[in-house]
Amino acid sequence: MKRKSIALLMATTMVAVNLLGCSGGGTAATTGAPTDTTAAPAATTAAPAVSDSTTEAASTAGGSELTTEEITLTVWHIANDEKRHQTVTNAINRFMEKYPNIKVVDIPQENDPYKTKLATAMAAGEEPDIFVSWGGGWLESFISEGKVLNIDDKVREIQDEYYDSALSLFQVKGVNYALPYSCGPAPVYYNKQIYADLGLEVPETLAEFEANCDKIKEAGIIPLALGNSSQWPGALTFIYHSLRLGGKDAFLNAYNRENGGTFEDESFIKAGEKIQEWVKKGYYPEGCNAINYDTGGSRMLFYGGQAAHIVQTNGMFSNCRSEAPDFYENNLGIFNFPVVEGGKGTAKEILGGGNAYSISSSCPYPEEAFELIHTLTDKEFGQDSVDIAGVITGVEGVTMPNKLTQEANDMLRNADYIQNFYDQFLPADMGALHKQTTYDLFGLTTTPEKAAADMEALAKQSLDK
Amino acid sequence: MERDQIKSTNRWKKIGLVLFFVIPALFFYGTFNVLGIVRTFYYSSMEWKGISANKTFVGLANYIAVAKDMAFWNALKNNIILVAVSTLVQLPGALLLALLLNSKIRFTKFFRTVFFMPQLLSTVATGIMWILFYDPNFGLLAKLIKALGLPWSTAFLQGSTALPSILFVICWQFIPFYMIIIRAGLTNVPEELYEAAKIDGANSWQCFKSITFPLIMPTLRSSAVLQLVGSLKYFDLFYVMMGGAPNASTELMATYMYKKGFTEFQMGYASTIAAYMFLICFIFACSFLYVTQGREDK
Repeated sequence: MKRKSIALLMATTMVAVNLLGCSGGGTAATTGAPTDTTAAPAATTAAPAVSDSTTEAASTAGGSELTTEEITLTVWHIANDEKRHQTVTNAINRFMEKYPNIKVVDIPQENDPYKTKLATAMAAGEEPDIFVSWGGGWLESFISEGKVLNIDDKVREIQDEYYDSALSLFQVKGVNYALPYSCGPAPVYYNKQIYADLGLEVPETLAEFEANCDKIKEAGIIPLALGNSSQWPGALTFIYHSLRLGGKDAFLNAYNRENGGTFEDESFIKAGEKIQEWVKKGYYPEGCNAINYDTGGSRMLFYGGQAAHIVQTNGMFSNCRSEAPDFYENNLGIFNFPVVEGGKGTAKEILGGGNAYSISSSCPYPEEAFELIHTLTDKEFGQDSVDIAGVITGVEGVTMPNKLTQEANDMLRNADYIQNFYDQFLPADMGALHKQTTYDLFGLTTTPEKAAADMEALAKQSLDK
Repeated sequence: MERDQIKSTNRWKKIGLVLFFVIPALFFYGTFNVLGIVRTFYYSSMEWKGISANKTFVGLANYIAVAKDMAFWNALKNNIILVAVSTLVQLPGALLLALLLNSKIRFTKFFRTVFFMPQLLSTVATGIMWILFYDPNFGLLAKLIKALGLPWSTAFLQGSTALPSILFVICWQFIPFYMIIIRAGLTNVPEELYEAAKIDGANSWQCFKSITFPLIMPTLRSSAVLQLVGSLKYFDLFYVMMGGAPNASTELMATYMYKKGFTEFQMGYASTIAAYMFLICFIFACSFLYVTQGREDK
């Protein structure tokens, strides 16, 4: 009897283990295939794609030029939390009301698995009609394989609806492949209560900021929260330092390999030195490289008042709103990363990022798909997005519901340049090395010179082609 | 004559029946294992990004590149450390727990459930739980160290302490699994042998050495093979806890393969790493079975 029960237990465990082993591999089949065309015989006359001159009319006047066939469009996106998903659903419903013959299937995905899943689907030729990207090198690798539709002409026609800064974030070599649906600056978040208690002013220069940090440190509070275990959170500070010191051109010249720009430029080395100076002065919590951002290690320090600032992406807004609503209401403030006296960068160059929709080149209905991504990113969606989810989108004419989103939106609108995150922007291997070297800078296991030299060595290999 | 015919139809019936039961398993095994392995070798001879169908045949170039790649050797080194820890810590630990559960102490069922719990949690949940446990500021371990006033750093998941920290979690997770297997082996040891030994005046150590250990040797051997192969292709906890092994000190072959294939889009290169992993696992497992076989025959 006993033996039998153990055997049974073993059998179940093995099955369970096998199931666990398999669970990672599945890729959901796309439903992107057009539905049977025989269903709408009347449609044949309207079927050919609309010519360029009439596109604008089609996109504004209500789509009489678009197909009247019964078709289905699939959208993969990563707005998988309840609030952001709500905004997407609202936009899709508006679209389907306008075009009852077009069925839109949206499939929300988890952020990180999505990257793997999309790559797998692309390889298998089962990509969705519309997908989400972060711009930069990741999108570029799909473009160079001919998987993404060039929508430059169509975007140019409606470009006035979006901030230039938001559109520029997703251009690849000056060509538009996407429309932004979330876009925001990475500001310095600070605890207003701590600033009030210590009588501090919001800093505009790095020297003022450092003076504040020294006072905060004296008061027994950690100046800057950081959870750098996944490497990108620390990289934000590095990018800001180099942006303020060398301006946008230092990076762009190094990336484009022009005007003698290299990744060993003084601004990159000095950025590394600044980071190590701050680490040595105790501006960061102990073991910041071992703190995990995703599980909230650094955010808890910030919400709990144990740390005064955190440099983070705009995702911090929605995190804070759901994780610490009281803190969001009362204590959260933001300011632009301080400028360096004598640096080449200005306060109008900001670091930021976001998400945008692109259309697969395999999509059989590019006109309809473009109309859909237009609806998914338009002013009405933008208003919904700030009201419901607190996410700014980079579209013109949206009324901001509170001071925080107003400030973030102003930062975005006033910017004349948005630097995308290096690991997003650079080719994958360089992005990985950039994160690795900044991680090592924070851990004091490399020198600023060595970090810069490593980057330049890889740049010579992968960019000098 | 007639009898022979009946015999042969019976045999065919039997074969048909066996096939009927085996085919579903064979189908899945064939599609997901055999075909997958064959295709891995096929892709490994290609320069392929894994995004579109564009591939170029490069022969053995990928194999040479991987063999020259220090990051791969570093990953293999970490895998070997994992194998060593698995066999030298997990197996004795599991044996000890299994013996404890098998001895006639009270609350055996309770302990059996408690000991088995880590294995029941999903790996991702386990990883996140231990990340929180190891957190330098809020973690249980950090609080403990601070409360005891020890002068240690509380940053565990970085640098040289990252690997041991994860190895500990892996032991915590997998000892129960092998404990159950070994315990199943223990229940198969006939009680009479112990009774006879006791009559002959053997103490418990002698009983263990001369009865238990030799009789559960086959179980231990298959556990060791499972551990060997499992450790060589291990992925999940390292991926969850170190965010895809960002840092060379915790890179494994499988995490390196994932990084190359899915974040750097070098699917051909990643397939070559997979092919190497397959060969390494195959060679290790075969030589282990060969070496231990001799001992068992004695």
